[in-house]
Amino acid sequence: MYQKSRRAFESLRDLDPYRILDMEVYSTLLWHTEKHIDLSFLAQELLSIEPRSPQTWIAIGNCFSLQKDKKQALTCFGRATQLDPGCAYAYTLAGHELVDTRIDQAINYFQSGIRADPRHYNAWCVVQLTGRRLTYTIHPGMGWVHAI
Amino acid sequence: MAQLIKTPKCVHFGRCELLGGSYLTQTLKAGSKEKKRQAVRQISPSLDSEMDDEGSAFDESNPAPVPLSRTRSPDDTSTRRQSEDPPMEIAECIVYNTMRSCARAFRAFASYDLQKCLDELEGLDAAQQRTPWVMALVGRAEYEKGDYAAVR
Repeated sequence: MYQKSRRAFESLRDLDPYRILDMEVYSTLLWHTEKHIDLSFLAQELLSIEPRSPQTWIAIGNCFSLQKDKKQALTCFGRATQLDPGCAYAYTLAGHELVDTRIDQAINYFQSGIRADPRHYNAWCVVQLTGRRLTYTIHPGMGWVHAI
Repeated sequence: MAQLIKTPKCVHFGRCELLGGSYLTQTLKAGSKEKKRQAVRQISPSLDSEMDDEGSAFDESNPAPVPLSRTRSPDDTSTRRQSEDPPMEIAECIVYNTMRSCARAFRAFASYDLQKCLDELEGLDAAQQRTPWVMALVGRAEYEKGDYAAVR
């Protein structure tokens, strides 16, 4: 699945090299497949095209996150949310960064994400998962209902 | 709990309109949806056949459409217009069909019916499949599919 998706995104970038939209999905895809070089290349290119779009900063944040630089990654995701406070994905990724160390802050991030976009399934899934880990019962069973 | 489920639909009106519609049709109006689908199926083949007939007729009669110019006599332009009418209809058909499948694909994507979305996009013309919008949607749909498999 990832390979097909990657092929689609690669030909998309050939067709339209200046596209910013949907590039956050591509950067996360590269993060999942651990393509360090491609991800940093993508982040550099997006930064040179448009430094004021949240997608750019999400890509940069993913890049730092892949290099285990959590602090820088958080700064980047924070900048993405400053550029577009409705960007639920940036909140979710910031939450993912913090989920191992500061789980209370992570939950705050996920909830901000849900507030920004109540239909963002990633945030709901993770709230449910972290909720299970902490026996955190604000929305019992709601996470999966929303996610599915 | 019921309130919490309802709120997102009110807040994000544009996007949830699609989802809400699909939920409604799935749960409440299953019968009427089937009828609609049948109606669409009945319409679309007729449109296609009409399109093909006219396309072949047009190709035989005048292969290259000449643009209108003001120097021609009124009679000449009127005949020219008449002969150009079928191509306009064909163009409209093509545009409507393309828009319809794009909209169906995006609606399927919005309700995370990803295989349906990909099938719809496969059905587009080769030229349309090379557009950035379609490529991006294919990429996102494949990505979400992979994600789901991993989660499950």
